[in-house]
Amino acid sequence: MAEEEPKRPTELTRRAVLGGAVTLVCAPPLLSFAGCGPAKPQGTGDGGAQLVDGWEVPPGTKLTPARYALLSAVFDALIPKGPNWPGAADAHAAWYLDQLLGAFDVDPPRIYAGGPYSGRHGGVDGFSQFQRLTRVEEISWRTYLEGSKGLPEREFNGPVKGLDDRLGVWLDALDANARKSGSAYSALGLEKRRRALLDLADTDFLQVVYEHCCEGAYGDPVYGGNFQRRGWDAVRYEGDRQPLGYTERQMSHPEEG
Amino acid sequence: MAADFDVAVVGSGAGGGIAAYVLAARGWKVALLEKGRNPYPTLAEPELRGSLYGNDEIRQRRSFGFQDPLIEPRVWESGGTRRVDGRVQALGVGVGGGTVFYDGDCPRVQRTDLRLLSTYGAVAGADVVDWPLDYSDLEPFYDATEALIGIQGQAGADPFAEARRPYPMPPGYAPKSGLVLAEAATRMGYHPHPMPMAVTSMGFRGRPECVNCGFCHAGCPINAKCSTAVTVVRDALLTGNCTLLAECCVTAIDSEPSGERATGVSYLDPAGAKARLTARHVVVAANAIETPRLLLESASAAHPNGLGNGSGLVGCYLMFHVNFSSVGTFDDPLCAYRGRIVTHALADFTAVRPGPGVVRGGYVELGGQLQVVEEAAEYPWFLHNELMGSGRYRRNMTAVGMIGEDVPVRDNRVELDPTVKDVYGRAVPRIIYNRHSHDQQVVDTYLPKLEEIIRAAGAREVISVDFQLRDGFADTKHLLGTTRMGNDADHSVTDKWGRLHELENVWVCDGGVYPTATAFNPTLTQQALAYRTAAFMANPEDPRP
Repeated sequence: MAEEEPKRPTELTRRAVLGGAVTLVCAPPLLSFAGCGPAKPQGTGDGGAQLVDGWEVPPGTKLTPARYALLSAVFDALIPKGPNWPGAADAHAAWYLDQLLGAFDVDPPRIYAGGPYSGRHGGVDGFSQFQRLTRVEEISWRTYLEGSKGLPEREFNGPVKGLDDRLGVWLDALDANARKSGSAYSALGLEKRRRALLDLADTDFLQVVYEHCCEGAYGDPVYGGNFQRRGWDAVRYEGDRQPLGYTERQMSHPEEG
Repeated sequence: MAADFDVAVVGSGAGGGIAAYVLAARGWKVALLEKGRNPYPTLAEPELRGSLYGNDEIRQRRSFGFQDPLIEPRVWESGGTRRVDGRVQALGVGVGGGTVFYDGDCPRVQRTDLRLLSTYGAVAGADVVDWPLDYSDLEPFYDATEALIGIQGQAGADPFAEARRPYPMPPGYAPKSGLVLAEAATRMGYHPHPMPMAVTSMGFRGRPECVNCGFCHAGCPINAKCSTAVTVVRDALLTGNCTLLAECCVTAIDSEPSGERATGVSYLDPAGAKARLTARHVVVAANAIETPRLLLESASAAHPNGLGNGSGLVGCYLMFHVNFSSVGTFDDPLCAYRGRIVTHALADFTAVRPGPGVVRGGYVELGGQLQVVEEAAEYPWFLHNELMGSGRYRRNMTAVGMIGEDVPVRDNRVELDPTVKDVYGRAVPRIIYNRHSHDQQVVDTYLPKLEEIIRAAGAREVISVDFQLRDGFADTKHLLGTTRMGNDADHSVTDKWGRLHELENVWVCDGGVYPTATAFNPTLTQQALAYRTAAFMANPEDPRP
């Protein structure tokens, strides 16, 4: 009997009724991308940033500058910037993931934002007050991010590799493969970077990376991504709504905006 | 020696919360043990303020208040395959349990739901039975539960429902997605009606009206969702008779050497230290996967196969409904992500006449939504910009889904896995489930009818989804049947009051007691059953609400 390895899948609810369906109607991969913009992302606005292969790397990243640049190049290939489209780069999606990797560098860790409101629509900003983790939540998130490290409380089902390790190895392999053709992955143009991802034989971890990229592009800005709500604005999404909510008219006549 | 508590209640979700309140209100000293955290800082204070939930998909995707898929995996075996996956039938783990995250759909069952064998006859390869109680036994507890937690709805709007008193709250307003589907169903001769929901449509018992933010699955920030946390658990705490022990994972029900009575529970406290408390009674309400797991873990010399498992049926007859949908995109925007997820329903397919070969359908939910990260993550990355740019699948899409009844099969069951552990060091549940041909017939019969409805509403592109087939495992959240109740101790685990046949002071207050799955969302019925059980515990001579 075949057995799969334990993993941390994102939480999917039964009511995620639409998502699985749309993948069924999607066309085969498109190799050309009409809206490709410049590869170089805008920075975080921090004056101490450095450039690595044209990618802006803010100071103090959890990833090494080289890997941060690689991650930025991958994210830009997954969600490219367009004429009226921020892409992962302008949404600071790489910064989002780096913030997650370094979640335990601060106390409380940057895992669960506070509640109940962001303060953007009234009420006090509770989101920025990150929550303390319970004992088992901390075990879970340290295991996911750092790996089990031989600690018995994390290895109840055997050793677990951390996201930092898995991501680093994956990025390095992607880069090494690109260098066989004479160029660092992060120095490739958009089309070649996308082609390299399409050519991957094993796409399981690519999906993990992609989902983090989506979270960075469209998640709440308190986690470091979706800079200035650019992801939400690009797709005409209102974001969090509490305590405002929607009026009856906004619900029954969405065509009015 | 006096026990620490009159009752230890394991689990603060749908059934446990109700039982804790009913008993605390009647003067019982209650210990309410909850494995997860308490995201309600003011739950026991005179003024209930906002929760630690928010309109935040990241928190939701990181399983805040939910079963953690990494440290609490499950084993799923079906059709010769085995997978270890923490997403399998995962529910809320925190004060309020699954009621924090569900849609809030709260229909009652019909009389025939409790008389399936008498009405429709036997099904080969399944053990269809009648329930050991009637609708009239449940009705007063439905009324009491609805008044306690707050349900919105429109009495008389569903012609297939039993006659009933007015709902505590009127229906709230609906998104366009629900309205266009209901209009189409009406044109087709069906009888759509506002979905009875555990969501406020007006101020109710100190909680505000729902503002329709659309994040019901992330936990309600303003306590408009009528979860057990902000209703009965809070009420229980305010009696002064209930002690909430959050972040306490029960690892065993302790029992006397004779095996006749439970003496209390063993648990891991928030620091992970072993602890015990004694109680005159134990209510297990951990859900129909976790409850049999705990009973099996609580084996003793007197109960070598698990507590109360002399029949060998603890964990058997697992049911969780068959869930399938037709998903459609429309030309005009619907923006179904605005507001409650399902606002209308119809019961027409539950009322088919019995006869040879007839397959009864289930309750139909009109509505379905995607929030933005969820949408993006489901797209193939190589089409991301095109699909997200159009927003078609978030703004123009909705769904029609059915809660189909699955029949009770003994071999569909929960066991303890011999190899995989969770973070508490406990053996994880191994869920063995193979779909019966009857259940496949439900899908085959009614999925085309769902397609007809959504096409009649104007959908241009329609995709029909059988979720178990798509995902490779079931994730319906409707957990039923593993401690089935009945009058015969050889063929059931609990009596008609939810008490284990073999232990006079251990009671089950979750969906495990269901002998058959019914054609309706189960939460309200679980709560009414829990209310009934608790009322009997408090006063066996006159168990009234």
